[in-house]
Amino acid sequence: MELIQQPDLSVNIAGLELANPVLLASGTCGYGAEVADLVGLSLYDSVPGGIVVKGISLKPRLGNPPPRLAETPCGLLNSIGLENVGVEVFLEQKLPWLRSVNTAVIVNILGNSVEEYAELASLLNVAGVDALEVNISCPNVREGGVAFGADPEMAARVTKAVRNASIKPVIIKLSPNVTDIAVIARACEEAGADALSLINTLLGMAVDIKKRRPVLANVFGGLSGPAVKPVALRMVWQASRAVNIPIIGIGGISSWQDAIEFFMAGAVAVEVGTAVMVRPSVVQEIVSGIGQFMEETGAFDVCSMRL
Amino acid sequence: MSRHELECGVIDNRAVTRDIFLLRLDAHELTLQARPGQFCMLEVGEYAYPLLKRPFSIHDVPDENEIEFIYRVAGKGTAMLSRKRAGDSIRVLGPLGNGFGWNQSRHPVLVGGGLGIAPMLFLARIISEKGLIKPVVILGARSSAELVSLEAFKAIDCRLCLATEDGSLGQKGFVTTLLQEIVGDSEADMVFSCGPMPMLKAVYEIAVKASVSCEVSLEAQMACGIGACLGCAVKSADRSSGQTGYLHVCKEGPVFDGADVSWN
Ligand SMILES: Cc1cc2nc3c(=O)[nH]c(=O)nc-3n(C[C@H](O)[C@H](O)[C@H](O)COP(=O)(O)OP(=O)(O)OC[C@H]3O[C@@H](n4cnc5c(N)ncnc54)[C@H](O)[C@@H]3O)c2cc1C
Ligand SMILES: Cc1cc2nc3c(=O)[nH]c(=O)nc-3n(C[C@H](O)[C@H](O)[C@H](O)COP(=O)(O)O)c2cc1C
Ligand code: FES
Repeated sequence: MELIQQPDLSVNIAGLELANPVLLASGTCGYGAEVADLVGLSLYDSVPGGIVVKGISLKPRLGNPPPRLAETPCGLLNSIGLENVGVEVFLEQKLPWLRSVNTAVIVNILGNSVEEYAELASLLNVAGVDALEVNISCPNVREGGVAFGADPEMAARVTKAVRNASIKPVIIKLSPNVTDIAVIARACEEAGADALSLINTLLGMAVDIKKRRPVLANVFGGLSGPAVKPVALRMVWQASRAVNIPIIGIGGISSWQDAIEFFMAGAVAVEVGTAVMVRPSVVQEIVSGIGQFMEETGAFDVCSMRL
Repeated sequence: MSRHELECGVIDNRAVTRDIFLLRLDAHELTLQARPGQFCMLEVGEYAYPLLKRPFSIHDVPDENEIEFIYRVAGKGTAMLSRKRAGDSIRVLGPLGNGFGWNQSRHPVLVGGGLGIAPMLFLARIISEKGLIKPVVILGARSSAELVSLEAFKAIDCRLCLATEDGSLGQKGFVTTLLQEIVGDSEADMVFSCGPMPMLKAVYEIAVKASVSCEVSLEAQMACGIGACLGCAVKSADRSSGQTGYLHVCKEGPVFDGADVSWN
């Protein structure tokens, strides 16, 4: 009798254990409870391998004035402006629920200075936080954001500060709004990053021709959704060939086929954002589809699919 | 909270005016949970175009199998929705949002302007059938043709007051004139309203003057509809801290106490 080996969907990213390689992307799933029933986050078997919570800052942030959303062909522009409850409320009110759920919890952090990133990292050295994802790339906020992610030296400084302050695996989330992603990726690896995730949103805008003004009150917003997938895929390919640390692919993933493309391009896990908002049940479809594809093609783990 | 993401069969989708459509869906999973003032996100496109689901108020739940929406063709998404036919299916996420606090009122006044009429039918039905109260229902539109679902309102035990801008039915003018008279000489203790922002503001001001509390249903551009993206922010009234914050229409709303909303 032939022994059929079940494909192994689990991945280990620098000590971060994931039951499967599909994560919920930051900013599109709140702090988890908002989407739990629809995506299958539960006490026992959760559908996603992990959740990356909305970006957390030291102090609460109100975010940008509305309108904050603009739909574009197969895409979405957002200028939420990093509205969040702040780390204190997160630890007191959001983390206890997340602890009770059987999935990896990754906390996305953002700051206005290197010191703020480090302080956040040390405040999050608590049980229930499985890893940090450092947002050095959000294009929405005038201060911070862009500066860190676009400059290899600044990116390295943030990485080093968080790496030193944290006892958790540190994932640096890269911005696509740069000239050479490989240079930034290498700078983060050298500064001690355990893994990289990419891409964050692409800076864009939309104009309301009737009102003769930009659609978003903030003028610019971050583009996400199927429209950005080819760009994300190209950058994952480039980054994965520039560094030796694991890459988490993000950008426009809306089906299991999209996820497989990212694995082939060099990612060991993926995050799904906009597609989850559009259709929460897609998470289950993606997880099942990956398993089935691996079984059919005889892939024994996710990494083995890399081209 | 019991909401679902599911495919619902189209029972009927027909034009009631040139650009207003009534959509009836087979959705028995949603009907028991649905409360007046809640909404659903409807997938209007195919293959990610348009990408986002569209929010629509629950217009009516006539029985345990059926849920109804009334919508105006306002752009590409609603144009695509208008082409759905009986037998097609539509992916629905709902019911979502908080709904009206109708059970705190003994003498409710409902005010719907334009397509703000949408949530008022279900609200009037529940107040009458579950609350055993006869509500005052003030409806207004540009012309009699746009006073949609009048027959359904007439079948509910309520006091119906109508206004049209062109005078083709009911009083000529706006719902606010009727509201002014009614809160002046009745025991009205709460106003529930939905419609365009300038109308809601006027309704709220009339209610405040009459010392009657007022709930309004707001609209905002939405992506997720479930409080996950924080995209649907509207400005809140100044808080005691002096700092203005934001309300999130899909989760904390769409129904708000008028006193919590920033009106300028
Ligand atoms: C809670 C809620 C309940 C609603 N109930 C109803 C209803 O019962 N009947 C009805 O006809 N309309 C209702 N609307 C408005 C309806 O959602 C929009 O008319 C519709 O989304 C327009 O889509 P479109 O693709 O045709 O227009 P487009 O102009 O092509 O849309 C472009 C983008 O703008 C958004 N948009 C445009 N107008 C609005 C609006 N007024 N509110 C929110 N987003 C908008 C669309 O979602 C889309 O993302 C409601 C809105 C909200 C927030
Ligand atoms: C509404 C919204 C809010 C977001 N908020 C954050 C955030 O707080 N921190 C962050 O690192 N990325 C944030 N992102 C970026 C996503 O995590 C993701 O990188 C991006 O949307 C691309 O993936 P997608 O096409 O699957 O959405 C946000 C995206 C959206 C659409
Ligand atoms: S639409 Fe996403 S939070 Fe309201």
